[in-house]
Amino acid sequence: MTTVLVGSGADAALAGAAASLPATVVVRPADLSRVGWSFDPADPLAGTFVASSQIYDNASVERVICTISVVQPGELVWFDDPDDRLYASSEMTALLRSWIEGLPPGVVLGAPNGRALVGCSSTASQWSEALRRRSAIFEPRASGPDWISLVDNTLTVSDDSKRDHAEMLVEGFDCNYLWIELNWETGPPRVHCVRSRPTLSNEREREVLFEVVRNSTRERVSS
Amino acid sequence: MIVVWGLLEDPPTRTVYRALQERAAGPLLVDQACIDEFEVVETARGKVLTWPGFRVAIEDLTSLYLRPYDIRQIPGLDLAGASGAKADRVQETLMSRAHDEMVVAVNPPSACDLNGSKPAQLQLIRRFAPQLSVPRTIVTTTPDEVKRFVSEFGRCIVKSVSGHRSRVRELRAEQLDAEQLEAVRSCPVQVQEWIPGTDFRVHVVGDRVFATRIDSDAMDYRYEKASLSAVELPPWVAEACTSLATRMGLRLAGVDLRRTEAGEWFCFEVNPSPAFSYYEGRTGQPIASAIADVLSVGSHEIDLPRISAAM
Repeated sequence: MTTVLVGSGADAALAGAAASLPATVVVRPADLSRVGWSFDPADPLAGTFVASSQIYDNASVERVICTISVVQPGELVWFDDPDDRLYASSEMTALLRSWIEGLPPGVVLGAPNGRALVGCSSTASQWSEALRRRSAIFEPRASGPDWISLVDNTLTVSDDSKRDHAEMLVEGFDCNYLWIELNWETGPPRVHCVRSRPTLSNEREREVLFEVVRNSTRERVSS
Repeated sequence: MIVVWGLLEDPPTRTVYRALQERAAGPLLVDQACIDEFEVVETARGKVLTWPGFRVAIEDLTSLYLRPYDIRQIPGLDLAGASGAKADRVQETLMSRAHDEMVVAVNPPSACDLNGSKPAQLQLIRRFAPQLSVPRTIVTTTPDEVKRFVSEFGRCIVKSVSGHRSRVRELRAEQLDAEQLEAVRSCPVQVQEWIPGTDFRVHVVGDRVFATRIDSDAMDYRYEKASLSAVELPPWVAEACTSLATRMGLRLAGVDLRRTEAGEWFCFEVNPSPAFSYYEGRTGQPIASAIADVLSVGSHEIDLPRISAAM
């Protein structure tokens, strides 16, 4: 069984991430320009995909961690014509989207509910409104001193004394992946950033995410 | 209040706007050709949309027909610097409003998402309307896979995997050449079995169904001569189409069907932003009026306050 990381060719964290997780392969945009993809919407698990230049069965996929919203045209440098890059990026994104849609529920972390390959389609103002309803204040910033992680149904909190608050904060979001950076210090929690798409370049987030993935893999192996 | 957001010169937008103008509660038109005349401002009571001489609170926008284009591709608009940021804010605010579940949006943006991937949409069609058949399909980067598939079905079509508008092309086993197959390696292609039969475009508007039969010899009738006529569908087909639109969260949908000689009905795709005016103009079906009915549910007429000097 395989864990699949889907990411940008420019993401240096991907290779390191793949090395630190068991049985992990990486799908980069270049892999969508290689022989080996085969997808039948009537039987999604019967096909094959390409990762790290090798061909794998769709049925072997145990976990997908996708870190890109779309395949960026700028990455497809092997197409000379900018129009070809744009067209190919749409086609590759559409193939990845259907491939993700065809996997069993729970396999994809940050399963998409929007046009993107991963994560919720909520806008900033929707996040803000949802957090306000949970008595939190949304103050967008790059990061915060505290964090909450929701991976599948596993909730991890930087300050475990705040677990009850954290549960209330993430309750009802239609996402199986959330990373929230916030400040619990005084008064209502001040949320600085909310992500429904995994980001490997954030060290704290990556460590928590990988720990949950390793544990879930161990549990499956031992059972 | 009902808002029509798009380009007035775009026939579907224009047709909906005119249908709404015939009613007592006239709509607010946010014509993207003059998007630079609009602005969103924050007030103590929330966001307000303003344009020369008028303003309306965003929360008073209760229904929204949206068919927006990329404003930076619209000729004649100067969106450099601050005017571009101002226009982006108007667009973002209207899109955010359309996401609101309390708003009657045609269509809610989240319901349109899977239109970007045709094979992903086929999976939904199979799930939501199992009474309808879907064509056998393969998406691949493997030349041998294309050869095998085309050999199996004899006559196939190739079309874009994404929502990128492209002309449907025919693919026959005996015509496959090495150059065509080589191109498959660098970019995924979607190949489908060719289904012979008669095309039908079905517009679902709320719970109403407008079916058009298309008689044409062309591979892709959108680009060739075709004869269009309004028809009644078998009740189970009409029901499958409404069920499909409803379960996809669409208040307006353009469903592409084909009926074979044997009487089997195939569904190819569901368009969440259909150019229905093309069909309305040729068949006389009151599609825009039905859209106006849907938008009118829950909307209330308000007097647009003029901007006071104090604002």
